[in-house]
Amino acid sequence: MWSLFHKFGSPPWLYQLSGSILRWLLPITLLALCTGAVWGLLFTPPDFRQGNSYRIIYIHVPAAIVALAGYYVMAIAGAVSLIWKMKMADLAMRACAPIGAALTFIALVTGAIWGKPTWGTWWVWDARITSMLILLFLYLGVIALYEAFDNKEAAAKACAVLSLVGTVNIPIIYKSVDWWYSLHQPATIKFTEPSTIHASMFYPLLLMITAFYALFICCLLMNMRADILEREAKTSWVKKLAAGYHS
Amino acid sequence: MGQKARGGISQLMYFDSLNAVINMAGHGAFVWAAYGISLLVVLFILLAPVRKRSRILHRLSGEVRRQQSELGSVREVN
Repeated sequence: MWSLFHKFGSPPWLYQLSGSILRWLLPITLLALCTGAVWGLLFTPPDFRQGNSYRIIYIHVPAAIVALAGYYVMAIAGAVSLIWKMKMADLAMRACAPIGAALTFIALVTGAIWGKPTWGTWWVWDARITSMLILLFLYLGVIALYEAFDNKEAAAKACAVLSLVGTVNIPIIYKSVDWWYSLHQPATIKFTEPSTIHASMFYPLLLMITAFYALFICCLLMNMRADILEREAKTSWVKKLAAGYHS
Repeated sequence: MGQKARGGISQLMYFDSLNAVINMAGHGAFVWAAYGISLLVVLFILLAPVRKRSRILHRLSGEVRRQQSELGSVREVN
C-alpha cells in the first residue's frame, strides 16, 4: 500500500502510467460519448409530458453528477496534499478545477435551456440551481486562487483549504430538491428503490453518465501530464522526452 | 436520411425524417443548442491540455537542441 502511495508520488512513473491508460481510455470515452448522444437524441422515445426537450437530460444529468463527483476528487486530493505534502496530489487537485468548472457550466447552461420550454423560464433562484452556481464559483475560485499566488506551495495550501471548506456545499446540492420546495424535479435514478425512469431512457442515460466519468478521468490525466512536464522541466527524463519530440 | 427506404437500424429511430430530427416537434432549437454548447465545452477541456503539453514539449525540445549545439560548438573549439 505504502509503496503504491510512493509510486504515485513519482512523476515519471505517473506520466508513463497515465499515458498508457489514456491510449485506450480516451478512444473508448469518445466513442461512448458519441454513441450515448446519438442514442439519446435519435433512438429514444420522447417524454410524454416534456416532449423532445427532455433529451437534454443525456448531457445535463451526467454533467451535473460528474461535476459533483469531481469536487470530491478535488477535495480529497487537496486533503492529501495538505496532510502528506504530496506534490502529485497538489497537481491532481489543480487538474480537477477546470474540468469541474466546465462540467458545472454545462449542467447550468443545459439546465437553463431545458428550463425555458419546461418551466417557462431560463433561470430561477432555487436551491438546487443556486447551490450549483456556488459550485461553479468554488471551482473558479480554486483556479483564481492558485493563479493569485507567486509562491506555488502557498497557493496549493490555500486551494486545498478552499476546496475542503467548499465540500459543505456538496450535501446541500444533493439534498436541495428534498429540503426546499423546488421547481427542479427530484432524482429519477434511485439506488434504494426502483428508478422512476423507463428502461429505454435509462440505458442511454447510464451510458452517458459512465462516459462523462471517463471523460473526467481522461481530462484529469491529460491536465496532470501537462503539469508534470511543466513542473519537471529541469529533470533529465523530461529533457530526454523533449529531445525526442518533433513537431 | 428521410428519402431513403428505411430498414435495419433506422427503423429503431424515433424520427422519420431529417426535418423531424432538426425540428424535434418545436423543441429542436433548445435541444440542439444544449448539445452544441456542451460539445464546444467538451472539445475545449479535451484540447486545452493537449495544446499545453505540446507547447511545453516544443519549448523544451528547442532548449535541449540549443544546449546540444552549444556543447557541440564548445567541443569543436577544443
